[in-house]
Amino acid sequence: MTLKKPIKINSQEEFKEVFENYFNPLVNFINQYVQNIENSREIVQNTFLKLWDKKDVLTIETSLKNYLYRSAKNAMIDYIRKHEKVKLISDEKEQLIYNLPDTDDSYLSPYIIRNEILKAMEELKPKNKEIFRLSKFEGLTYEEIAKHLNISKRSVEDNVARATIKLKEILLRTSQIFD
Amino acid sequence: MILEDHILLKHIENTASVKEAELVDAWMRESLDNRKHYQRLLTVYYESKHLKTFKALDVDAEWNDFISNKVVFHEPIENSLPHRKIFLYATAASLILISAFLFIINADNTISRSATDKLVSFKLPDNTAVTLFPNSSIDYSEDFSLETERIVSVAGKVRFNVIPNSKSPFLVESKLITTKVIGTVFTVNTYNPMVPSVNVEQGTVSVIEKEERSNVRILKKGDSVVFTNGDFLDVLSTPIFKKAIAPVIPKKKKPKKKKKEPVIAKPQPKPQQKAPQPKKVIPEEPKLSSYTVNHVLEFLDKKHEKFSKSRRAKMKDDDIISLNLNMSLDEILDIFKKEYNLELEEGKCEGCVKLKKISKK
Repeated sequence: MTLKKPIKINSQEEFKEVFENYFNPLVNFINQYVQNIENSREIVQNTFLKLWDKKDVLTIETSLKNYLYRSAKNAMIDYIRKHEKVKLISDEKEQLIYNLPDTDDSYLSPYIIRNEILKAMEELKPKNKEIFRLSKFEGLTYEEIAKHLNISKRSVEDNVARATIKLKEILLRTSQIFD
Repeated sequence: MILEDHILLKHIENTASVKEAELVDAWMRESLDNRKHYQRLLTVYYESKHLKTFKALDVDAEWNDFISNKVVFHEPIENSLPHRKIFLYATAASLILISAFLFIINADNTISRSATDKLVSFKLPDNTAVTLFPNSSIDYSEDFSLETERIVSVAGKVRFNVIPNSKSPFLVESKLITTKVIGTVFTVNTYNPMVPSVNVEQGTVSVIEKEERSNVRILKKGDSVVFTNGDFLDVLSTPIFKKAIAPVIPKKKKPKKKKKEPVIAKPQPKPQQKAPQPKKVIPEEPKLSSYTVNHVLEFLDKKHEKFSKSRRAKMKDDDIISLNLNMSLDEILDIFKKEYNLELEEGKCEGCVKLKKISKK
């Protein structure tokens, strides 16, 4: 799946790949504004429903990322308008949504990267992965992790650093985020 | 010249020695490829910090929802409403399936649910939304409802969005504390059962020590409290952006700690409240005056991360993205201007900015 060339989704397998690569990034991007994971999830499911319906006739000229960014953004706007009576989000957030540009999809990028990091973590050695997880996901300090695992703080630092470097290498090999 | 990644990482973390830093700076000037290499490491380092707030839904389950729904969708029904309903039912049904193995009805009529390595979100019978963080669990009675007092007990870290009902208060029990609410959004963190904490995103909650029921703290939106060594630490209001960056301003007089020390004589406040390695932070400061945007960002992120821990649960996501690497220089500078009361000058060196403090109002 390339992100740069014009794109046509030819099969269910290809569609599934797009879905798997973009579902969580889109949910997190949308959730930043909607601030409700269930609603965000529904908006993204709807985004993919629309894409599914169009997939046979659609040729994406810009990039898949840009296309999905715009579709999700529009689906979010639809959703908010449709549920106008229920005040879903703050005016401030609403304003931010209406100000989102069509062409600049960099708003989605950090979430794609985070998703790729999560996937790449699966390739880390178990111990290395666990220390990285404790540090990044649970926000424990090096001291806390050291105490928890009964290892030295130095060893925790080393592990986190090694995981970071390793993840960079994995991503360079497996992902297109650095292209 | 080839530089090892771990030296680059030290540079990113600002823990490199002067000599190492010079080495890295020289290496980066050498070629665009080197700078790209550095940038990639920086990206992983920087984005990893945000993994905590990244919600990873089970994509396989979402795909199954999606694709099974497709069967229905292909039927030539014009009215969109039935679709919608079927869609929702399908979702609900599959959610139950996925979480079935985590869902245990105990002999004593309590229901247990737990999350192992992923976030698990579901609704209680009263429609209260619950998010279980990894390695967390919740128990509640089989006949849990709005009719009575709503009581759940938790282990680990659990977020609640409680449906308001003045007749039926909502109580979250953990080992040492009880958190009582009427309707609000909050997180109870008991990863360390002896040092539980509560953070409030919306509304008001009271937190009660179990041993000493008169020991109560009232938390409002944005507040957090930590219970440690037998008492509550101060209610910590979410610090605003400016405060967090304040140590950058050299003349700053009141260190963060000051606020708490007179009140609490505890030898060890919450570890994250400690300024880590103050010795290293001080020499960093002058660097800010002539650093590239990457350095400024990375420096900022340090500060950001430090304070964000205390406000993490409530942190506006825009704050995260507002310092994202994908922003243009101008946008970042705008934030600087607004948030830190700094004046920015285009520097002499390429890609560098100069930061100058505006005299205090």
